[in-house]
Amino acid sequence: MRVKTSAFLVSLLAILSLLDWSAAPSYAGPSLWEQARQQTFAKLGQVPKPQKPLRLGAVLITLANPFWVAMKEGYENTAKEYGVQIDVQAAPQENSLTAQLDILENMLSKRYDALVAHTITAHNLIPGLVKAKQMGIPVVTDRRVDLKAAREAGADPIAINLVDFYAQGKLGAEYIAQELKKKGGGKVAIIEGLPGAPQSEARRDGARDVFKNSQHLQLVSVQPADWDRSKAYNVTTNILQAHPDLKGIMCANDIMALAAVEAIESAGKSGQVMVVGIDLISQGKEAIAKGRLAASVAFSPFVIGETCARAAIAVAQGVKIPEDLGVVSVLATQENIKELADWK
Amino acid sequence: MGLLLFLFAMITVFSLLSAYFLSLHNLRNILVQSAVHVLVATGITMVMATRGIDLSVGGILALSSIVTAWLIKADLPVTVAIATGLLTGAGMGFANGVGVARLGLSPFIITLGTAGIFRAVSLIFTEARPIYGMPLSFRSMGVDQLGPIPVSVIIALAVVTVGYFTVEWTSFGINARAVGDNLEAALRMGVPVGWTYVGVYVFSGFTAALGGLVITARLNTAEAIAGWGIELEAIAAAVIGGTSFSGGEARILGTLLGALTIGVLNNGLTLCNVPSYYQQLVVGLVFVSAVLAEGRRRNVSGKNQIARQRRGQ
Repeated sequence: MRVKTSAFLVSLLAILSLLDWSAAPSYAGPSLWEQARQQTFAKLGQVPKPQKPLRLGAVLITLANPFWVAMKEGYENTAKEYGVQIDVQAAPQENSLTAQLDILENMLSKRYDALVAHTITAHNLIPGLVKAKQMGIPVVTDRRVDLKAAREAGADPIAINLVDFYAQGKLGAEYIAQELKKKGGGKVAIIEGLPGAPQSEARRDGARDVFKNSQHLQLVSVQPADWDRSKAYNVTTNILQAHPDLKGIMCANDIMALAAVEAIESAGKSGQVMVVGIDLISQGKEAIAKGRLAASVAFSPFVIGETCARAAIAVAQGVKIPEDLGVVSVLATQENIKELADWK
Repeated sequence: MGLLLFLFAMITVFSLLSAYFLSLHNLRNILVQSAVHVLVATGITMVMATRGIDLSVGGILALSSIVTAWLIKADLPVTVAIATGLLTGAGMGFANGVGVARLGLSPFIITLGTAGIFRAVSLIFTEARPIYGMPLSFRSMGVDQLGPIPVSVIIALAVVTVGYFTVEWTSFGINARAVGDNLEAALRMGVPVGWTYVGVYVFSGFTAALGGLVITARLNTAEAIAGWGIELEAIAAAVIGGTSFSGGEARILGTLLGALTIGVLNNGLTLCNVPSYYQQLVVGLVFVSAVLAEGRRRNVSGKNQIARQRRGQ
């Protein structure tokens, strides 16, 4: 009976997800955030309620960043919902490679039923994953771990796709392409994050592939700004200097996109260059509502935390989980920004 | 002595709070996790004896481990690669020493500058991509055990022993403390001040490089952001261990205890599931308390120092 209900719900959600919600702003059902959340959960399927009290742990990258704090809250929400214990730990900074490995190894001493590990680099947690394998503790990791290397070393993590960064870059760039087509096309640029950072490169590649394949667009510049506000401002100023007739910029995150907007406005080109970012941070929401930022690709760290927690609960009970648990992204624009008020 | 008592008190408290703390597996974890800090902090302690500071140890650690990993990947014998990496580290220390001794730069300034340079060269050389996959013969210093003791811990203890005897028994160690205690007097006594400065920075560069090799062996990876912020953690270990910024002494064994204190704290707080914000708070409080306790211990000399400075000496 329960299986039938959940199957019905999943198929209902699948049908709902096909509808174009931006065209129906008056709809009074679940919010866009709730829909994206349920679509993400549907990929995982039904997670059985544990029969015995489970002890789970998660290692995040750092809590010195709102993105990860939201993810931690997602973990805690699921822990409450399922009545399990989930300890969440994190390294002091995004660069604390060995400190993060230390934390994973320390947590292994506590012999949790299952762990989730969000690795800083492709390799820094591998020694801990090897130990986990030796101790028989299942570990869920995101696909950013170098799996080939991990397996060679004797680890066997349960790798899942959490965020499709390439698709995010693509989604944002497609919006620019679509909007500029109406105006006859023109020159576009990409501002990427830190060179070498996988999420930055994937977002850039997604955007670049869209721009290169659009007949009416001319990609004139791809520049890194290291995720940094002031660098993005300077990079934008320089691009505008070289290409005064620039029409659009795809940025690898909102921080840089907001800086690009500032640079465009102080160059006296307000409204002439459309900027799209990724992450939908709260400052980005305001800028979209005011029409300064054209759009942002929203994906919810809270839901990522919830999804990982659910995956860990499933794994701890010996339930197999699918590889693709990619959190569903939504394009936030001026039309739907009001419906995204509860996005977290 | 006080620190040793504190360390035992902490171990007792954590054993009571967490059933997982006092297991062989976990104690070994603590030692392995502290080994790199012990290595780097021993070098920094030596520099602090001369009233100096070395902020470039993180950069040295990254660049020398990248050099080693790159040479290994270029199919050179592991021993040659290790020796070259250690020499590179010592060479970077030499540059710092020359900056202080010959160019008369303040240790803070020169090592702040070289920290950026070494880190940047690491990034430029690797383009921020990790060098991955070391042979087992190299990895032994990060993952193997000699009997019940991990090799990295043995390396750290060996360096502490060498450091301790150098400071206490060799003329180089005595000179280093003399230079830090009173530079003018040291010059008058004919201490080779320049070479002493160069020597301590070379030692610090060497220990940082050794730390880098242990990290690389443990992670099976050399990368440009390795050892980020380790200079501050190493300085904290030295200061908790009782070595002061005013020079003239190097408490190598104190540094060992200081590094272990930080290691035990980080491990115990994680096992007790204390959120990372509070972990940093606790480590900070312990740091300040250690400094205050140390200040009280040498109350008289401390007051004398202030008095001396007031008189403009």
